[in-house]
Amino acid sequence: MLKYIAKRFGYSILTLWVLITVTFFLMHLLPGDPFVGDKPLSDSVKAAIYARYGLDQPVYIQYLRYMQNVLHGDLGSSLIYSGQSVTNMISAAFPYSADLALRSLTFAIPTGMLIGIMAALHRGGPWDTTALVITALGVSIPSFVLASILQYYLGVVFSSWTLANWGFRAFPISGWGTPQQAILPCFILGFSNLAEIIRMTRSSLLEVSGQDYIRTAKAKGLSERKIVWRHILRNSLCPIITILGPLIASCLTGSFIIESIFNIPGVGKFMIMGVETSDYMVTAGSTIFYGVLIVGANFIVDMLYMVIDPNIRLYDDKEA
Amino acid sequence: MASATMTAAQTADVQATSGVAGMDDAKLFEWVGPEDESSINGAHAPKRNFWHGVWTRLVHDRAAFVCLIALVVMILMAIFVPMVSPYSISDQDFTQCNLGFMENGHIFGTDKLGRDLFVRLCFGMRVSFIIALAAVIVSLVFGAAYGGISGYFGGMVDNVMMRVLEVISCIPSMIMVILLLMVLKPGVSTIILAYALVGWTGMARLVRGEVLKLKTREYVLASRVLGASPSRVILRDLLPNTVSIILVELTMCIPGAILMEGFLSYCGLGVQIPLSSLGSLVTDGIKDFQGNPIVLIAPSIFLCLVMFIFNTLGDSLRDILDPTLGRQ
Repeated sequence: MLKYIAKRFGYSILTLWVLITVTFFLMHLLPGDPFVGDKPLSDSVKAAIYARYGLDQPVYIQYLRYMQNVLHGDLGSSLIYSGQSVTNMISAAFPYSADLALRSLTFAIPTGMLIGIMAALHRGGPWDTTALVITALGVSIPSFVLASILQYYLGVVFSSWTLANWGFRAFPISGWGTPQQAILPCFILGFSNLAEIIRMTRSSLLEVSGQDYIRTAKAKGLSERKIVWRHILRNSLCPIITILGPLIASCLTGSFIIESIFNIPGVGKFMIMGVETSDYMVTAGSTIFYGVLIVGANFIVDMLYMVIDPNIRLYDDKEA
Repeated sequence: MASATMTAAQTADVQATSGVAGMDDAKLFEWVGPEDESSINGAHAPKRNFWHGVWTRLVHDRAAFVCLIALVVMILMAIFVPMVSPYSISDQDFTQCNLGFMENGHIFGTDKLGRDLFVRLCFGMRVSFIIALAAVIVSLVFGAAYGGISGYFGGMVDNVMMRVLEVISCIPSMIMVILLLMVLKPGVSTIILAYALVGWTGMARLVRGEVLKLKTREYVLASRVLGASPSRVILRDLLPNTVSIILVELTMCIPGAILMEGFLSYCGLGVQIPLSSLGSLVTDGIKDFQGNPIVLIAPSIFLCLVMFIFNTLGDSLRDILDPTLGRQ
């Protein structure tokens, strides 16, 4: 078991190393130059700026230095906003992103599991239809389409109506802070994940319901409630944990669209800004930050899964 | 069919030998079937191969059938509308800006530069379908080959290849694609390349799992005993037997690729003007739809429809092809 943990941990580190290296070298291939502004710079000024940021050194020296800094938690300083360190920018912005992701998951996970469970237990009933409709909508409407449409019809049209009649805006179109501002972004971010959770829960439950031990339980004369709670739910909720990792990842990487649409000052907004202004320290920094988060989340989910499902432990011992 | 041919063959056999061995042996054989032998050949079930079976069941699945027809219509629209329409995707007519639905002969109206939206939409579908097709080919070629090789050779090769795959699939694909697109010039070929680098891992994993299961079967052993090379065993014996899961995975990877193109367009990294894609039309529509809602609504509906169609087809194919999953 320790061996399994060590192995997983090793892969996570390896993944991060590859990510940092790839990011670094891609940034160096970038055609844009952040110092090409409105005013042409003289060669001596340019050389001084390059020396200031260490850009005059050979690439491998820059790489080693960058690696060293990243390991110390220093992601460099922004090239556009001079003096701003990327680490500070990210740590100031991350609480907003985390808040958004957390709130949308607290909406999506319980709702999705509830609908999925009800749909599987009452196949063909109204719950099942609801599940089918939500899944179909969730997989076919991209979040940026949903966000733009809802932002206009609920955030502008409906909210000006409430402002005129009830004296407040129901759904503010941008910003972050009040609970009202959180409703739309969290709902939209959660919606596409909702579909995935419902689909997974439903099929997992149905698969377990068809197992022989469920038939045995029925044959023993157990009550419906006991079969559902003791046998079906317990066994079917295990696989759902595996999608938590990708779910968190999609919540975080999906959030940069939502953040830029609803003007939420999270990490994603900085990343898009970095892309637009070719401030490659900011882009690289937020990429690495996202990478660490996602790889970390996957690692934790792996561990969690091992604790819950003994089959994994057994299989790995045999393999090792 | 087998029994019918055997009977016929035996008949011929016995009749042939009886001529040589003498009349007595002929009494040993008595024909008990109908006099007209051709009716036997017509009596057995029609010959059905794999694709025929899949096709029949797909057509009988109402949802899948409707999706299939809609898809064909869309593909025809994508191919022929830009060819036959009097408007082109880049013609601007400033006397005809911001027209609504069915105004002045423009089916979906025009955008703020007076370009015909219907033609741009059909061209956009063409671009999206090309990206989808490329995604399919990439998944099929890279993914299936990678998974097949990894699974077939096993041992050290498998170990190394799977570690590489694990590292690649751990790097968030959207981030990877955005990084790449910052380096390369945005455009259709770059989007395809970016997808090629990240999009094949799911397929590789699936195929590997299946090949691991299949490679211990007798027919693989037989093939190897006969001296087949590894590439022949993988291509001729193993991959054809994984065709069901490959087909399902391919259908499912299409919406992913189309969605990715949409996101990239939204970030400003998609196809460049004057070309259009479904994603870029939606993105443009988001900016201008408050004055003229059709510029957002029409491309959004088509984008969602395409995603819906491929997801539904994938689900139906999974039901049809994977008997272990049952009809859930």
